[in-house]
Amino acid sequence: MNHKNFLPRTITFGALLACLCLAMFATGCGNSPYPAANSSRSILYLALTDDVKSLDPTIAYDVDSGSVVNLLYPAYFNYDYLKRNPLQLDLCLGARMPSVKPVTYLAATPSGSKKMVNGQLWTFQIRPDLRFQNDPCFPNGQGRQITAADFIYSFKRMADPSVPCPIVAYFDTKIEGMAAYEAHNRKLTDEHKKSDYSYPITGLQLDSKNPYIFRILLNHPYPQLRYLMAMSFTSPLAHEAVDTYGAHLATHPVGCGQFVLTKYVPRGEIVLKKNPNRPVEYYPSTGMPGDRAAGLLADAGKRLPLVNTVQFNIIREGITAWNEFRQGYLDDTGVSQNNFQQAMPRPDYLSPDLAARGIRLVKSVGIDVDYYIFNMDDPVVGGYSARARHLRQAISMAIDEHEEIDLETLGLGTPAQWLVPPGLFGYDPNYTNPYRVFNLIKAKALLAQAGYPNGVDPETHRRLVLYYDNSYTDAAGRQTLALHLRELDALGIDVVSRSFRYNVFQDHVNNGQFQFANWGWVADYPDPENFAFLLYGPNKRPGPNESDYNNPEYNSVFEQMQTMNDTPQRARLIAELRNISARDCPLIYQRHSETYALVQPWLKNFKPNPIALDSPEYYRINGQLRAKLQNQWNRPTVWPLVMGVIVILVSAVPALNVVKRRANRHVRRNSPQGATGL
Amino acid sequence: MKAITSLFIPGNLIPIVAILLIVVGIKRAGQQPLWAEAYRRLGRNRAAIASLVVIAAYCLIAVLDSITWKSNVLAEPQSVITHIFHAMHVRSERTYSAPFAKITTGEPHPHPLKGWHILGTDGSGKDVLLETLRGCRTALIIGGFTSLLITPVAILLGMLAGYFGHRVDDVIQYIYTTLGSVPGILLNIAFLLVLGPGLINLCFALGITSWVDLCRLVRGETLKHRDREYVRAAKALGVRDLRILINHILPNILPVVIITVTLNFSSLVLSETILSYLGIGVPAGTGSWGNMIDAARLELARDPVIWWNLTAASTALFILVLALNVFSDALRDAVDPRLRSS
Repeated sequence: MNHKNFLPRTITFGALLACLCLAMFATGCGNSPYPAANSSRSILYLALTDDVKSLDPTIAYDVDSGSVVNLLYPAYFNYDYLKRNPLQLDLCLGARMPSVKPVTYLAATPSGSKKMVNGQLWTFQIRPDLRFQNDPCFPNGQGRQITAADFIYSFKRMADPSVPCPIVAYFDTKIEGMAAYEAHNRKLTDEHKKSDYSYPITGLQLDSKNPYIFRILLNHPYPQLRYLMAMSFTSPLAHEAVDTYGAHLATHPVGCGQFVLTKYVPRGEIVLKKNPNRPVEYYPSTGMPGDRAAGLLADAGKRLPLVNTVQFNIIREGITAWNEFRQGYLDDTGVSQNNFQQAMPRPDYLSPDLAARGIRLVKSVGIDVDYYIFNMDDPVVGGYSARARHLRQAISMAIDEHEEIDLETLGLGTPAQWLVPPGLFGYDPNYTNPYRVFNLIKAKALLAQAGYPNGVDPETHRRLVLYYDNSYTDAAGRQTLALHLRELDALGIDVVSRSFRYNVFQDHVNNGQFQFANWGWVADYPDPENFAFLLYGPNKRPGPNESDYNNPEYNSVFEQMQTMNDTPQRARLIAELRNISARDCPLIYQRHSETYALVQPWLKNFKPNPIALDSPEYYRINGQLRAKLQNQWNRPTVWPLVMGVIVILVSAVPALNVVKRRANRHVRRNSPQGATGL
Repeated sequence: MKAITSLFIPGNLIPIVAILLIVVGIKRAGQQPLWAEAYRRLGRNRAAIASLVVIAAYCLIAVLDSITWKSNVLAEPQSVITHIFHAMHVRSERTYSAPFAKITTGEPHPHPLKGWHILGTDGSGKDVLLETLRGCRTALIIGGFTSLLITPVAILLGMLAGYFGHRVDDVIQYIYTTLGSVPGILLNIAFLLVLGPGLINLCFALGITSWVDLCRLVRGETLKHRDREYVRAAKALGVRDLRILINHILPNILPVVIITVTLNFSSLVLSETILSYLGIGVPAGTGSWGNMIDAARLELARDPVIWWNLTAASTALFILVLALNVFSDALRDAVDPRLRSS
């Protein structure tokens, strides 16, 4: 190395590096994840917490998948965007409200005999102007007209054993002939043959004269069918799409909604654009008191959707989503434990920093319930003996839900006394479950009555050991778990946690391989039956009754309640169900959720809905405002870079001196004088 | 007597026996000229002595956390450290509290604390200092037990491959080359998914991937020694291969092995932290710096920032790894004849 040139070279290199940095700034190197022009366009940017599991409307059941599927596959009904308490069903693909009439008919039993059945016949009429989206699976790529047969096809696909429809149990015991259809196709599937969609289902009938009318024959009254007709599972499905794409329908949806899928990057983004064949729908003209003042009726009567494009960014890390929201690159976000105190210094109070930016805080109450679940088949905690009941009651009374809400959800949520959440018929705000009152002394007394004085098992002379299955494997989950274990430890029993990844944990619960676990339920539809059925005996695993609770008294009352309309008599039956199950204590009710959302100032018409996932159809974007504010909020901060360069330069000076000294020494050593010691 | 018997925990013998074996091993090694000289050189190296003191302190904490007893027959066994903290009236709180704070933080309505906490408390109200000290045991078990698992395997296979060559060498090379070609972290994750979570299972999972480098090194050293004159002379005198390996070659490669194992120790401690950060390390409830750092992912985004959990775990980890690395370097300088001559 030529040491004489070392310093000038270093300086030149440093200068070049500095020029490169400046050039990067000069070329407008920004932090926007989107093309610059998109800010002012009518594009809605939303986040999903995880990748969609499936975009097949017969399969998709999780919130992330549902958020996309609901925009692609509308159903006969949808929920009124603005109406609340109660939520109200509106016609979406339906032309008129279904007519329901009681019918008595002779039905075949599995043994082959016939019996008289008092059922219901529902008649649905769909709109004649509906078309599927354009797709190569149709002739000339043009979406064809939708008829009632496409709705019937959806029902048949739900009962196809080769398609894992998670809600088929809602239908196959109720629609006449659906169970037989399912059994017929199961036989074919077992023989590795294709399912036979031509096999008739007696309870699904087309009208011979009108192609837009179909009928559903139920073997018992089931008023909740109207809610199921608002779910994407019952959306019309084109057999051409199923035949063409098969299992790939999960990533290649062919629907008839307001949007069509134009881009799907797994674990990246999902882009939907306005469907040219979309059904004609309008923004509602009436709402709740206060909606007009809140500006929620400014777009009344306008054709939907109000944005051209919806882009879902799949962002698994909450911190990343929060930062993107703060930079203006997401149009809304939820308030979670990660950002709670930055967003809300105290409950219901938006931080001044966010308020100054024009960001709004919107609260919503979920229609759901979290609970601990006992396996009623377990020899220790299960069963209906006084001993087992006392043990479950003792554990229930040792769990302080107020503390859990404070520490797990930062005070958000309502302690649950039973299954039915606030806002639904049958919820009684004055009811207090006698075994959901935190009382450690009474809990210990109940534990002694259960035969475990001071938590000691008399057979082993050691503390009773319970196994607690859960999916708390991440950092936040471990904190929650530590809290749960601390509470149960205070009762004097040993609890061994078995934490699994969620899908493994879910399998354990579904297969009954647990003793005591953490579980929950989110409403499919706003009816108390959708919660009370979680303890209905015939719904046992693999149905939604995961505890396998089976009390004939409860079952009998439930059967009366489920077919009734919302009357005082129904409310009395719900109270009866509540009291029966509170005594048996198969579940320990934790909480009904409360959530907060943060909304950017340019996002209009935001009103959270606890059930419907089609809200983006109603959102409007003020693109000009977004572009302006994004520009303001994302000005480059140059001083850290300048400081960094200065620090590097200053810290390089001693190093350069050392190099220079060594170079001089080297030169001296190698010079003739140095070598001779002169 | 009966009470004492019922309170006896057999697991307490393990750390005591382990420490005794280490002390005896070090003492006996010091009687050999090579190690006596190495000890002398280490004794002159201040950085090495300081590192050794730090490592000894960590070991002492780990031993104290490994010796447990029950305060009564029904109680859960608690470690000496936990008993000391209880005696100092350090109690669990509801949730987070900052160092020396008097109220909790991170909940809508702060609650007064039951005691004071030098390093604050974590999300489940545990004292962060106690949790940090409990992490020492996990780190040293991971480093120590995994080294104990891999060293004999690596020496055996490495020496066989290096000494016999040909097909034996081919087979052993094939095994470790195959293992080495799979990303270590993926192998660890796969093994942990099969074996299930647990401290000992984690050691086995880390052991699966960690023996390869040592085996390769031992093979190379054995290859070098195989053709040396003293080995040829032994062969000429009719000494059997096994005896040559054990009595002649092994003592000559042992210093290199010890240096490598010491250097690997810190990598294993860091691996535990990385796997726990990924959520597949030691199970919840086991003190672990990795779990503490993992929790900090959420804590750093909070307002006010919960910094004390991360700081305590990172500092404890940093000091141990630094001490191990400095000591390993010093040990290499003291033992490796080539470095000594230079």
